[in-house]
Amino acid sequence: MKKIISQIKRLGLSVKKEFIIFGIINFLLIAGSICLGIFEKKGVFFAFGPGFAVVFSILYLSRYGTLINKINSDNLIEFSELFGFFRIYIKNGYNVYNSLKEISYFANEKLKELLTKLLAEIDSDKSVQPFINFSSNFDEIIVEELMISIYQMIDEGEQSNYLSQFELIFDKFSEALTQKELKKKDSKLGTLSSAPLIGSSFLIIVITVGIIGLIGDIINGI
Amino acid sequence: MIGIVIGFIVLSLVSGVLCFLTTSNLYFAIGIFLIFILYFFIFQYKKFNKYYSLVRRVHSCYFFINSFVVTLSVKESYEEGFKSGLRVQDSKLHLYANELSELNDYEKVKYLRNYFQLAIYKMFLNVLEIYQDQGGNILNMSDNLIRECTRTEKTLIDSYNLGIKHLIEFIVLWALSFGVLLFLKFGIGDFYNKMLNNPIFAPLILAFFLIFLLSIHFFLKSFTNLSVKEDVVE
Repeated sequence: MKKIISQIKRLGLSVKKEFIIFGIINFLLIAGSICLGIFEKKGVFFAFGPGFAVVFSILYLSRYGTLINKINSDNLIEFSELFGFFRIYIKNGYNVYNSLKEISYFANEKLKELLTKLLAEIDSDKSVQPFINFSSNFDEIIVEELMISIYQMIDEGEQSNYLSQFELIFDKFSEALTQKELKKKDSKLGTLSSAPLIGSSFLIIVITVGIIGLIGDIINGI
Repeated sequence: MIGIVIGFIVLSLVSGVLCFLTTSNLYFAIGIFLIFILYFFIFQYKKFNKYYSLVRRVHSCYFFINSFVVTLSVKESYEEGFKSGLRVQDSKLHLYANELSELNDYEKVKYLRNYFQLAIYKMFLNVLEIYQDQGGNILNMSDNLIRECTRTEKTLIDSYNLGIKHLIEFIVLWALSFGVLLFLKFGIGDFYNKMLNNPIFAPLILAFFLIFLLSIHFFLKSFTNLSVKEDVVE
């Protein structure tokens, strides 16, 4: 439960509101099945509500983790694209500070906010700390390596060996990220392309229902 | 895009006909046809249009930047660079470029930002601006830019190929599922027709078609999902 609450908070959602929605939908599912059971006078309908409620609860509560993973992954892609532009600026004579300022034009809301914070911190703190703070917003350790190499560029000058070091790490990171995203897409499409198997399974259930109905008719006929 | 529209219509018709054959209910068949066709035109048409427009712009942008930079470095002429960039097979780009005939070549390149609407093109314009102001070796100045372009283009192609590979699997497996249903209908017709007398059987077949539509929805959603950074042109 603690994990779910911390995930909701991390997503910036209201814990109270999320639990109220969760409670209302579960209540409606169970109450609906009870009403249906009473109306149709069939006991089997009483089991539908709790069954659907369990499935709904699993899907509803697991979506926070999925959302966090998606946001993390989107942030990494955004970082990779922005710092691809960053090195173009550096290569063309911009200093680190101005390059960071320029790439914030291309950034999404979240990254723009982080870059603005980074620039403000650089203004008041000339140590490596602002760069470490920035990298702490990403799950990959390689982001920290990249940010440290950027800091070293400031220390040693933008055209120093640290530019090559940054480029080397960045290429490695960028390639790994691209491969990871392609693998993810491959796996997702692979899962979806097996959806017809769900259709086939459903068809088997349909045929079974048909056969059972026929057997029932035959027995009733006898 | 016309191919996609025809594909949507054919798929809706085939689904309607299959529904009629398997449920022997004209209302169900018309319902399925309408659900499919409305779904495609309300939800998928716009999405596909956006997807194809983005793919086309990325391919054209990649080609344009590469050709422009190489030609500019060799001939040192914006005009030659622009002409070389326009050799790409993109009729919409050619139409757009024709509208810019009154501008000078540097301005034409700048205005193409409105056509491409990609962050990488804005970046290219920044590099070109530095080249215009300070001079230098354009090939050297844009090597990282070209590397970024190539990476985006390669990712797009790989992603598309993956999508096509899984689309074939998806189509074959669904065809087999429908094959089973048709075999039941025509192979053991009497038995199947008796099953159809069960009031719950035909609605369940209808649900099977809706599962089919749902799987198409999720597949297309994943297929058309691209992460290419676009530019906001005011």
